[in-house]
Amino acid sequence: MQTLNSRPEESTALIVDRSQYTVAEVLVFAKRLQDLLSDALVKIKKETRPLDACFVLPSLNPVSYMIGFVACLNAGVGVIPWREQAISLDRLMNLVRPDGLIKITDAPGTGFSLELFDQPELEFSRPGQVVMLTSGSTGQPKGVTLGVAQLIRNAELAGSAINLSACSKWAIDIDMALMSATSHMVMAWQYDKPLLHLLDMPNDSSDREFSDGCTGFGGSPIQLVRMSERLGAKTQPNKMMSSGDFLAPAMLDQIRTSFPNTEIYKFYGLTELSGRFCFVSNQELFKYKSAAGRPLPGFEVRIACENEEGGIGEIEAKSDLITAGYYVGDGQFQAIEGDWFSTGDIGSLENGMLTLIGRSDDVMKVGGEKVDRQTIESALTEILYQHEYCVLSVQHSLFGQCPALFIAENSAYNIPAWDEIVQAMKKKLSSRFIPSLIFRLEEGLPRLANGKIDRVKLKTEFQQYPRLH
Amino acid sequence: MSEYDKHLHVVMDVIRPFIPEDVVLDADTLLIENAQIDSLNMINILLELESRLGIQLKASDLTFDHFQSCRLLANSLTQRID
Repeated sequence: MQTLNSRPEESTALIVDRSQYTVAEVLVFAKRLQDLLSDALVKIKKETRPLDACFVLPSLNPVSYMIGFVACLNAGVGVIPWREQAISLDRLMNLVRPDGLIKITDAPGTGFSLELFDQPELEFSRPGQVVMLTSGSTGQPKGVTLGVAQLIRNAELAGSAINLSACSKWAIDIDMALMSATSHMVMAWQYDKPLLHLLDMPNDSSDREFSDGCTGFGGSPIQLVRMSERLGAKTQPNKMMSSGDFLAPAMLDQIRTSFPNTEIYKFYGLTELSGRFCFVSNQELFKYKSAAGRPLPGFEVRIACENEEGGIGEIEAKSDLITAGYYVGDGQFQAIEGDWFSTGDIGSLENGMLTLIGRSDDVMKVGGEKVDRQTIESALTEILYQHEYCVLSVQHSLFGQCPALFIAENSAYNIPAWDEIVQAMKKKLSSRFIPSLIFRLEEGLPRLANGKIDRVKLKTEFQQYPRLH
Repeated sequence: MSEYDKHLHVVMDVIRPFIPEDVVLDADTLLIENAQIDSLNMINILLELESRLGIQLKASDLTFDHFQSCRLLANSLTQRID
């Protein structure tokens, strides 16, 4: 069974606010948890088929998350990364039927106990070993199952694409249970790089950590933009890796202005494909600003459309790294069938370079013509790059489908006024692309368990949000 | 300030970002002929007016007649609200 690389014991595995942990320390704490898990397997009579056992791993503490993840992989038990604030344990239990919960028993996050659940037996053997929660196409959470070998291979491909070896350490700033963060963590581990977790780290400490000029950073486009607030004017990451959301050209320009000497890489991926799928290298990024990238080695891509090359259609992927399927709740598992996986994203392919147009369910008709939210969101980046926002099609009682813009309030920056946004859009695109409704969300954009925007909630409850004037 | 004046003020505020910068907007500017207001702009303008004035739009509001000028639009809104 594949597991994480062996690393020199003296290497630093994790750096968090005021503390750092060597590989040896992580492995010692992980071994203690492994012993607890082994005892639990005997108790729940799953010692003969350990992969059939599955444990929930909370992510509130990066230290305990890394230790817990390593322990589960080494013990050969399944692990479900859990963002406690995003999905209730009851809902998660119905979705994946875990055998137990890993509980943290001390402040640093290095001590553990197990709470075992009395769950009904599953009617299938668990495929994969890591279950990542995603929103699912209907907005209902799903558990995407991935094999450890898939996760590791994908992370290694990403590390190779950005030449991670040239970094002294790799920084992230997101909850560890998110697919992207877990990918970053595995990538850093495989390349024997310390993972620097910036969450709760004061800006002056971050600045110090990046001062060697060899520290890389991975995150969503808005996080890359905001790194300029965290780092001093003379401090730059040597590499930045954008993933999660689409890095729009205006945001890319903003990042380049803040960090002129930093290598920037853009990734497009899906949990179902073990994380990363396509990427644009630093060399090609400014030539193909709107592109999603070329497939990583081991992936094939095609566009499901009848037209010749360059036609627009649903993006499909083929690879050994595709998930075996989804946990869909009530003890049910939905296997993925066929060699080609439909991503649900719309795009085009030209000379091997993939361009993302939007989600297949995000194309709306306004004034009889098609409008996709990706185009609107891209045009908005110039004026809204300091804010989180999204565009969705909503149903107005009189006008039918309308593009609606949802903007999260941000304590550091005021949202531009309604007329400024309209004017900015008017200059860039034709009338049908101007959002008909603009909302401001005081509490931020609603999120699902996997950290993605809860689009169903926004689409169904949009009328309760205050309008921006 | 009368209700009509208030509505005219709001209407002009809402319409202004939709017209070209070189067009001077006053109460009688011909919105469709001279200010490039099209049917899609009309929808966005009405939705914004609906929110700012706290009114509920009807299908009868979607006519080009009301959109000849800010004055006509403000008039029709004032009559509806009264």
